Amino acid sequence: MEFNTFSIVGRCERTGQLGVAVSTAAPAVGAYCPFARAGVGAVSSQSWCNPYLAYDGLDLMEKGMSAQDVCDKLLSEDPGRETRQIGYVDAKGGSAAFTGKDCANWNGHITGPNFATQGNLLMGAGCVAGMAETFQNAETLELAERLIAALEAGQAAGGDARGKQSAAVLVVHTERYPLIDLRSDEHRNPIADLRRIYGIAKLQGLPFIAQMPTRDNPLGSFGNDMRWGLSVAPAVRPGGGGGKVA
Amino acid sequence: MQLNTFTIVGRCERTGMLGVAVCTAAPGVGGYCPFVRAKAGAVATMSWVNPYLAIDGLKLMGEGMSAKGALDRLIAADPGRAVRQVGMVDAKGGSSAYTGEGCGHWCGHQHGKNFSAQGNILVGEGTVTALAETFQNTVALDLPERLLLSLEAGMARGGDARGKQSAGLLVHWKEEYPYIDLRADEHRHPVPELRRIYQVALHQSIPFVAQMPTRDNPLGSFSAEIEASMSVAPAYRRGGGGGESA
Repeated sequence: MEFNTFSIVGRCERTGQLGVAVSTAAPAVGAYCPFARAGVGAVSSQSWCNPYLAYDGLDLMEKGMSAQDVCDKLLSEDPGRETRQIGYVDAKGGSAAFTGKDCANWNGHITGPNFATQGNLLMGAGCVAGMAETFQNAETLELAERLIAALEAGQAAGGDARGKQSAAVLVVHTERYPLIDLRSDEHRNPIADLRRIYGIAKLQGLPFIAQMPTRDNPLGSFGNDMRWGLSVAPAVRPGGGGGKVA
Repeated sequence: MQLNTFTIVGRCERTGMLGVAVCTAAPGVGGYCPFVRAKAGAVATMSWVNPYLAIDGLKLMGEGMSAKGALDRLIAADPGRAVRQVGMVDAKGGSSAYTGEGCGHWCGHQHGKNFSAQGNILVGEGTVTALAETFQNTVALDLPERLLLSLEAGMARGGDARGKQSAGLLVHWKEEYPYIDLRADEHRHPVPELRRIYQVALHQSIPFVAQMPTRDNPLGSFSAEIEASMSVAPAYRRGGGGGESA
């Protein structure tokens, strides 16, 4: 599948969180493009998408290989390399990106400590530059917030030349399951919709995820406030929501 | 996180596809409840969610343990078992489900060859019965369609007593990446929204996923016809779409 896409792969220096935010003019980009593993790394696989560059990359990073070495090794082995675009960040903040020469114009990438940002079939270079600048200038924010803000800056600079259709944000922290995994799969303004969903999930999802069982605490915790918080219909909760009383 | 939810976990006898469809009155259910691995199994973890019941369950089923063996073992070891609800199906069609005594009423499950249907804080038993009956009566259809029809039938029988907010459909087939993975993460009518997204994805995702690199064909394939079909804005493609011209 060809994801003419713009994405930001990032790591938070303070918390060690790793994540990806992405948008494209194809449905459900969150299903095939962003990958992250807690304490290991994060990857965005796009253009003619090869998810194995992400799975195998995370396995190699888990064994201690740097993002740059992973990128060099896996792309040199991929017979479709000239159609691929990929960004990697490892758990130490190392980053790498690759844009094959057959990716659609405009295409390119920018990398730095803790981030890789990349895109193809874009309106212009401003999209990737806008994502990189926004990510670098927002260190005090939570990683999910930084990634979404970077995506918004990329869209404001033109984004995908064909329009827009889906967006996603994925962040992992300490567990094998995600801290944040939110998607707008088919929408006229997917990044704006993703921002709306994130606003609700901050109040109605994140506090509960913080209570889930962990490897160190297999019971998890059960706050009464939390239990009450989701016991009512979505529309009458903090943050509201599209759901309605049955 | 407490996901008062109804889910259908299923396997296609013809193709070996494995999947989950889910709906709940909390945001982003697709990020935490459904877990699937090709040739291993499918799991829905609900009520006070313990994702490790799914992550570890898939590992055990991937090593050849039955759904029943995996679920019995993991629930016995979970100190929070009284508040968990889980459904599992293995790659041979074996199934198992568990509903802890502390789950919210109405709660319960039904399982049989190739499926497990379960829910908690439901309007009534009819939702789980409708999930099970619909799945069993649609064997001639493709698995994603069967799971979605089952979810629609469950919703029509009342669904979650608090209303509704998010839905997800996840199916794996042969690869490590999903065959289809669609979400409505925050919506007033998440099941009809998931159906709408599915109808777009049938034209704009599934044909591309079929071309992605596999373990046996690391190059993947490239159809000029399919590439051309995605080169225009979403609104002008087969199946239409919410995206708009740039």
